[in-house]
Parts: sequence; C-alpha cells; structure tokens
Amino acid sequence: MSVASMALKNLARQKRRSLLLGSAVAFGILVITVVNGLSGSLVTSLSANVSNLVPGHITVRGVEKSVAGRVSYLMKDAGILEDVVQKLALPGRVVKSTIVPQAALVSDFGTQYQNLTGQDLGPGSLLAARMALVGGSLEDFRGSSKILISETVAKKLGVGLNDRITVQTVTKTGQQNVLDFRVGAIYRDPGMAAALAGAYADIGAVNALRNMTAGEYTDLGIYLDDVAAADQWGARLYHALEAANVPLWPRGTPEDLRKLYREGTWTGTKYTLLTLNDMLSALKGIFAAMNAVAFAILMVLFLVIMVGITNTYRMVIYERTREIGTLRALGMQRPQIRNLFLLEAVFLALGGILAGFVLGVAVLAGLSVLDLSSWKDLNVLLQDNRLRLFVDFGSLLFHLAVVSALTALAAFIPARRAGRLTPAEALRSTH
Amino acid sequence: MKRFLLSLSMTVSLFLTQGLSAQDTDFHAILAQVDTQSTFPGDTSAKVTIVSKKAGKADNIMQAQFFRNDTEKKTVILMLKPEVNKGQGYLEIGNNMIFYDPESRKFSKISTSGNFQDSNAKNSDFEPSALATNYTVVESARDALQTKDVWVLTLSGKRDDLTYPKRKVWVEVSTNLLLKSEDYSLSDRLMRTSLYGKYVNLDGRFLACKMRFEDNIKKGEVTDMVIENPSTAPLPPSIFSQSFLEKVNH
Repeated sequence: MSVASMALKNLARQKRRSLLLGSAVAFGILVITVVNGLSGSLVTSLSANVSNLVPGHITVRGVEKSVAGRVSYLMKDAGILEDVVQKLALPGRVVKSTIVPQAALVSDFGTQYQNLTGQDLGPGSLLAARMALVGGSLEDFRGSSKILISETVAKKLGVGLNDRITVQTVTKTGQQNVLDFRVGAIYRDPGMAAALAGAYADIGAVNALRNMTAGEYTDLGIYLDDVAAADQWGARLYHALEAANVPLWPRGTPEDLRKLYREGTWTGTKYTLLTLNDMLSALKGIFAAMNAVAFAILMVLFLVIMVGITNTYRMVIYERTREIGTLRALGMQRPQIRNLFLLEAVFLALGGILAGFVLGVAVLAGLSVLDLSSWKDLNVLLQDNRLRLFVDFGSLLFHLAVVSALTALAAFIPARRAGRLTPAEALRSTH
Repeated sequence: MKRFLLSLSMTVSLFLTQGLSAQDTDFHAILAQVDTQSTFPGDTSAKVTIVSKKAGKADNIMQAQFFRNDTEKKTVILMLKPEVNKGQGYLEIGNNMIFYDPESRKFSKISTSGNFQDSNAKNSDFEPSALATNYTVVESARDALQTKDVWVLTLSGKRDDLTYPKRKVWVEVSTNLLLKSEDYSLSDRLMRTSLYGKYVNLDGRFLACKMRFEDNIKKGEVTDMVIENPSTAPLPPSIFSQSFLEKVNH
C-alpha cells in the first residue's frame, strides 16, 4: 500500500476531526473566492461599461500651455501622431474627439460642470452603438447641435428631451464662448463612474464652441478589439511616440497629470497618453484594496488554522505512537513516516480548498441571478442589472499552493517528530 | 402743428449736435484716458471684500489685501478670509500670474482670465484698465445712464486671446470714468455685466471701490466687490515676490 493511500485511509478513519479541520480551511477559501469573484466581476463590468463612455481605450491628448499660463487641450502636429498610430497597426478603431474639460451646462434651473466630448455620433459610430440610452436617439446627431447627457444631469438641470441647454466654455485661444444645444438623448446614469462620463455632442458643434476648424481635434482615441490589451498596446504606443520624438508627459493617472499641467512654468504643447486602466485607476484602487484586505484576513485565519493543525497532529502522533512503532518495525523508513503525516495534512487542505472553492462559486452564481436594477449608483458595476459571474481560476491555483504549503508547514514539526521515533521506544508506549 | 414742428426741429438739432460731437470725438483717446486714470504711477494697496452670491447657495464672503505697482506691472493679492483660503496668494508680473497654495507650499502658473476664487470677478479685475491697448471702438453713441451723460462704446478685441472678444462700455462724458461694462462671448452673447458704482480719487487717479459683476448666463450669480482703506504709500519692493507669499505664511 502506498504512503498516499495510507494517508487517505487515515483521514477517513478520523472522519469528525478531518471534517472539522477541512471545514475551517473551506470557510477561509469560500470567503476569499467570494471576495475575489465579486471584485473581479465588478472590475470587469466597470471596464466594459466605462469603455463606452471614454474617448478611447487608449487616448493621446495634446495639452498646450500658453505664455499667459492658460492650459488647453489641442492636438498640434496631428499628422506625426496619426502616422505613428497607423504604423503600429493597433487592432481596433481610431476615433478623433474634441474634449472640453468642465464645460458649464446651464439651464433655467441650474448649472452642472461636465466634460463635454465632441465625437462623430451618427449612425455607425462606436458611441452610438454602445451607449445605453433611456430616452431620445443619436440618429440625427451628426452635424446638429444636439447634446447627450446623463439621467442625473438631466434631473439636476431640470431638463428633458428637446429642452435647451446653454454650454459655456473658452475657445482654444481663451475667449469666452457660449452656444445653445438641444437635449437630443439621455443615457443611463453611470452611477459611481459619473466623473469619467460627461456630456456628448457632435464634434462639429463642439469645435464651433471651441472655435476650432473642422479638421481639428484634441484626442486621438483607439477603441481596441480587446479592451484587456489596453495597457500592453498603450505601452507600445508610448514607446513608439517617444521614438518619434513626440514630447510626452510621463504616464500617470488623469489626476496626477492635471497637477503636472498646472504646476511649473512650462509652455508649449506636450502629449499625454492614457489607457482605460489609467482612467479607472481610482476606482480600481478600491477593489485592489478590497482584495488585499481579504487576503490579509485569509492569512490571519490560516495562522489560526495552522496552530490548530499543529496541535491536532501533535495529538494524532501521541495517539498513534504504537501504530508508528508497528509500521517502523514492519520496515517503513523514517522519511516515509514523516511523509505519511505530511500527506494527510496536504490532502486535508486540498479537500478543504476544493470544497471552499465550489461553495464560493455556488454563492457567486446565486448572487449573479439577483436583479439589482434598483442599485442605481452601482449600475456601472453590473451587466444587464446583474452581477457578472466571475471565477478567478488563477487565484484558485495561487490559494491551492499557498494553503497547501501552509498546512504542510503546520504539520511538518509533528510529522518530523513521528519520523524520528525509534520502533522499540514507540512499541513500548502505553498510549 | 406749430408745437409739432418746434419739437421736430429740436429733436433734429439735438440729433445733429450729438451726431457731430460723436463724429468729432476721439474715442480711442477716451479709452486711453479711462486706462490712464485707473493706472497709478507708484504703489497702491487696499483691502477688498468680495461677496459671491449663487442661487441656492449661501453667500461666500472673502477678504483679500492687494498690492499693485502699475509702472512695473506687478500685482500681489493675499487672501485673508475665509480661514480655509487664508494665506493663498496671487503674484502677477507682466502677463504671468502664479498662484501660491500654502497647504502644498507650491506655486502654479494660472491664467489672468480665470475667475477669482470661484466668484464672478476675474483675476484681471484687480489690474488697471487696458481698454485702449486691447480693443478698438467699432460703434459709439451718446446716452444717459441713470442721470449721468455717457458715451456708449462698442469695442472689438484686437487679439484672439482676450477673455471677451467684444465689450460695450459706458464712459461718463464729464469724467471719463468707466461706469458700466457688458462683456460678450465670441458667439455675441451677453455674458457678464459689470457696474462700477463708486470711485475714490487718489492723487488724481481713480480706483473703483464699489463694483458689481453679474453673470448673464448663470442666472442669480452676482459678485459684489468693495475696496476699503486704499493707499498710495510706497511699498517695499520685496512684496512683489514669491518669497513674500511664502514668508507671510510662516
């Protein structure tokens, strides 16, 4: 009989003890699976939903600071950038946008400051295909002065479809300008990602507001076929732009970059490259922190479980001293005795991990069928008003390795003691 | 009939007189005079209280001390109130303006065309007038503002980086003081109305000490600015420096 099958039989002999220890391991794994699954689900939905609202999964923006200290977005030398993007052959679609940061949207009932994005919003445009509208349509946006706003902004401004909104901002040279828009469509509120969204209008109308010519724009965005590859392609594009001697800002989050733009006494035009992950960094940080806290709790839980395992195996070896003596007398070697107990512990851990993982997935599957449409602020984290089922097999393998190693470590000292017992001494034992 | 003819002839003669006087008047010189009267040959300082009113919000009351040397085109504004903004400072030398934040202890370059502390006053409202330098007169008329005889001048910007590409100003005929200004957007929409209610005479130059800035786009947004204790006493040159803004915060 092999050592492994003996270990399994021994576990089966002590059903209640094995069940209790295995349940403790399973509970820890259940918690971490649910937390990881939830945060993974939320981040995946967030990326998918927000990717519809931003000017590209990767965007290159021209930032100009005048001698008088005025910072404005404007793409200069666009030809060089377009060449680099074309040569790199990024798998996706290139879209030009004009971004107006913090434009004042004014109605008779109030003012809301929003980023205004000018894009081609006509039929066939990416935004038109992806935007979840709750009213109106984008069909006749091309060449019009219609504006697309969120449900919350519409409510705060007290406006509905076809109502007038006055938009105030400065032109590319710093002159005050005002134009009237009509609410052409309203999109579903992105809740906690509202800061990343804003108002949208046809690029022609936004360029008129900024006193920019028809071909000018501020952002060269790339909507990739695979959103997950945004960081990888972003890094490649950044290096390609560097190689083409394009003056670039360092990589960073939008908040870091805005600080850089304001500080110092630089003048001229520099380009900034942002990926979807850069734009989502603040929100993703929350989930990363959530995962880190869950892992820390898991580690504390396993320290307690390790103490339990060590004590249990010390007791097991004490109870089974005569049995160890018999096995040694029958010719079993010291390492085999040690491995027998180590394998018992590892099998126990593996059983607990698998049970915990299966239970965790069952909990996640249960949560994913709940209709959460009433959670308005969180709907950017949902897919079709439900949590997306996310199972992280990578973290399962990681936990398998860590928890098995920890369990083996906890059982190692008692197992080594068992292996060092001499047969005669063990057989003389009266336990 | 006699009365009608008399009144008609009076109207025509008044129109002709006004028309002639408008034709004969050098409006650029009037603008230059407005600028000269608001520019001080030496140092100026005063305390300014700004009350910013926005619909549905509590009034925001701010206080600042400003120092100007118009000859060297230098301005310093030091925030005194509210407590949260105390110590923040603005330093303008020539066309460059920097803002000092005592919390981060950092300077950042800002635009003079920006709004002062989220009010309807612009950073440039603390500077002497520069109408003749920045604008040309495209239309003129003589009118009355309340009881005062005024020139109403429509101005067009000489450059494309002026905050307001078009302005309409009311200048008192007898004093060449600016009494009212309407600021228009590039799309020719009225954006801001400024009223200059009171001036103080300091050594033959004039400092507006009661002003009102009304936002014509955002209904209900008004900022009142009152200037107190104006002085033309010489100031130490070290005031117009970054180290001054840092030092006052230690």
